[in-house]
Amino acid sequence: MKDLALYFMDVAKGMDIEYADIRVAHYREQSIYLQDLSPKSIVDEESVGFGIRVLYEGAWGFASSTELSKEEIDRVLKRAYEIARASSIARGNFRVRLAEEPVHIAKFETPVEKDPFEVPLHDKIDLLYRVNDAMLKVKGVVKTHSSMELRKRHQFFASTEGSLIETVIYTTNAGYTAFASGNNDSQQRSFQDYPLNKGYEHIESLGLLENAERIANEAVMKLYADEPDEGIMDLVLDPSHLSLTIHESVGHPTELDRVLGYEANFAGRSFATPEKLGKFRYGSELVNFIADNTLSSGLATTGFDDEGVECQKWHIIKDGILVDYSSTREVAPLIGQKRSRGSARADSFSSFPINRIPNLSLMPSKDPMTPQELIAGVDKGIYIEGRGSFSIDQMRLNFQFGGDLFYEIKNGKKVRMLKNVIYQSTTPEFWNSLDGLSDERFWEPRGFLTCGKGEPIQSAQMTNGAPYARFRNIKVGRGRR
Amino acid sequence: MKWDFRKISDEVLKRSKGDHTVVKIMRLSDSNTRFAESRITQNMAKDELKLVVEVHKGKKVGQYSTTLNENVDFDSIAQRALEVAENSVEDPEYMPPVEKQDIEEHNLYFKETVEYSPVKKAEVLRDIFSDAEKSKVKVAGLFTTGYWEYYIANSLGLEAYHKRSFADLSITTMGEDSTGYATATDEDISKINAETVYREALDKCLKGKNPKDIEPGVYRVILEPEAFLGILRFLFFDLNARFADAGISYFSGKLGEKVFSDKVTMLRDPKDQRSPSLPFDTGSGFKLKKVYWIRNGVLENLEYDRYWAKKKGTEPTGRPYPVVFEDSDKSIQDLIKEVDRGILITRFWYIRHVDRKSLTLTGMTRDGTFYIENGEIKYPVKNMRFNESLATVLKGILDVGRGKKVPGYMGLSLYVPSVLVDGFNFASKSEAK
Repeated sequence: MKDLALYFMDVAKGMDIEYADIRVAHYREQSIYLQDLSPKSIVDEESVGFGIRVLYEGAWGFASSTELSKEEIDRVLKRAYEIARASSIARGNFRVRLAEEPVHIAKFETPVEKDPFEVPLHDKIDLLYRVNDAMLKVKGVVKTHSSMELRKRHQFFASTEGSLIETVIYTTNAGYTAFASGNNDSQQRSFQDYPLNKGYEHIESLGLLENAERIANEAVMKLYADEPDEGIMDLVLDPSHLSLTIHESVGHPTELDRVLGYEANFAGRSFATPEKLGKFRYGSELVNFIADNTLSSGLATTGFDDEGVECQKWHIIKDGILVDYSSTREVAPLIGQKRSRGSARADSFSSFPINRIPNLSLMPSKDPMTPQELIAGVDKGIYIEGRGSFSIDQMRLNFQFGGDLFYEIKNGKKVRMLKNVIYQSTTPEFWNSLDGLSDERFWEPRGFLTCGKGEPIQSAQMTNGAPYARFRNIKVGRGRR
Repeated sequence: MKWDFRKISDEVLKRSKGDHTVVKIMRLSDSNTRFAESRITQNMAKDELKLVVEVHKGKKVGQYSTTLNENVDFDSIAQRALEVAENSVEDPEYMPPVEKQDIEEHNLYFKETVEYSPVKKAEVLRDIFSDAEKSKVKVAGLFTTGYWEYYIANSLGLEAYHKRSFADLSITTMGEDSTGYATATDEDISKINAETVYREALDKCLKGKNPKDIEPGVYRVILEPEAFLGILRFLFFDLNARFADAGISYFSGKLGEKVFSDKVTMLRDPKDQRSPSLPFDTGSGFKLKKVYWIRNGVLENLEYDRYWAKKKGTEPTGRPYPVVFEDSDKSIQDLIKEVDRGILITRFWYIRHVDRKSLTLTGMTRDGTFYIENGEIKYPVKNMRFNESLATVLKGILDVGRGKKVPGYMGLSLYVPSVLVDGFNFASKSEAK
């Protein structure tokens, strides 16, 4: 693969173009999926290929192939060049100008204690089998799903500017769901995915089997839980739930390409426009969001992004004020920024890198604070764990979330389980209502493997860490109609 | 790249040491032109060839999948698939591969679609961008052309193949305080008129200027095809027979019952030119037949996989989509005339289940929402969030309009009409433009 990347650099440098880069990649993935005790899908997958991006007359062309040869590099480079020429017909007065980035000759590798592909496949399947078996033994559970995904990406990036970057990234993830039926209802409860860029040691640390019976019991308990009172009340949200709220209402609206209209046809735009930078009160003074693509084991911790920009750490919301965005080399200069924030990522060698959410996390309280203390400060409210329904408008303002497990809070205590809870708010209103955070002991690096964006849609991964947090006076309703 | 799928399959089958072996080959070759802010922003071409080998060893099954290139090592591929199977566990729901099937091939490949070049797309878009500037509107969208091939064969003699071209165009127009949206899709590029799609999106945007606030609540609505498909696709998941039999689906215990309005007839048919499905199941290769999921409001069939069909003494159905939803000759204007007070919805966004058992969904309106009074569009309205059960919508369909092909998944379009729905619940307002 390195030979092909070097060959590309030689050939592309001699062309009448402004810039070009290549990603030559080898992907390995094992995915295991069980329904009840039936192994429905056991797949070991490998793919290789490359994608070439060419900038000509301020317009992009991109082409890819799964055939690894110098002749194919020649053919695909020519095709990307021809496509860039076609793009230049319809670019109007706009010309892409890339933010400057130092040349990097580098290698980055995810630190791994236990190579996930060295662990016998049978052991992994057996673990999920025992998880499902344990859940099915709980009375009232009628169906179970469990899954495990293990990924390795080995990639060479090379550009006409002279960068040559090798990255080896491992990602591991597992989770499961119990479906219960009874009491004229059906409910589900999940041990939700907690992916990280780590080796198989991460899977072993999750406590998959140890939690199976509890998760199954909670699915059954939900059948008999009451629905909530509707009205305005306080919320205490756990990190596994809050990660999704963060992702949708802070991560996406602060992608600079979206802000500038690049995703208007599908993923939408953003209310967080550039004139608000440094002024707009996004949240209360307790709200600090730090993007950190150097975060240990973070899902977007890749050393360099897919256009060769080194991973960075920066504030996006500081003391409640919008101060920055995630960005790429193309969009950063459009708001006067000299350097990209290194957020261009593609889900495959055959996809064009786009502006993705970084590892973006809500910072914990600097003062000692436990989740119990946050709950103790609530007279009437709801405690929510895990992810459920989620929806937000195309400008990232009006949103509605559900959850996976709910408890009513009365006079500072969790008093009973609830079900079918939803809450609605708008992004600034919600984050300005935050009045309490737990400290770093309770901060968790939750994350996502399937963030969808772009056309054709691409899937990306990122960590959105959070502590427990308390929000005042939120509109709560019942989800079922 | 020139590849003979049968030859590849034979090379794998003769090397496999499994009790049974299934070979699947997929090719996707497409060209995607993305545009935003009235200029091309990304312009991409892809050519991918993927081989999946599924080996059965006793009741253990494993799959090995890889991209294909000239360095392909069939010995290694056959061995890797065998190792996955041997390391798996016995499947209590094991099904052997299907026997040879009598599958008809339908020609859905149009050379003109595949040869429609990035230059042609750029020229068409340049003219649209130029026109939009005169209306002070920005244009965004996606123009895709390409084709895919799918081949499946197994050690019991099954062989099936399908090849299909596709052309999809979606356009969003953006003004100061309004947006518009329109789509077109077909296997044959000559049936897509980009200018017409743009004019439709532009018209929505221009008519949407100065939207007014209206109070959330229950309204009679007209859902245009893109909006209707947005929510209808959630039905496909819940037609699963195993979920229904486990008591965790809306359809539990309802097979054969009248569940929706008489106006609801939804089928999947490989031969229906409005939205033809593949002629075979991509998972195992069995022949797909015409299936009415819902006819005149009656739930006629659920989706059965091979194991569950055998257990329940019925035939496997394959997936529910792509569907054809029976339509009428009525135009949108005809439907609008039937409404005293209601809302016309162009498109929904970010639709998710809120509660699966009741089929309750949430989502937002987008790109053209209009208030109707006394059979006429009166004024545009600001976007709103809905919380509504899809079952309530399908029970409340008073009338259906003319259908159209709407882009679906992986080059599969779906044929869906506009629908007039009696009551639809909006939960809150949004300032999103």
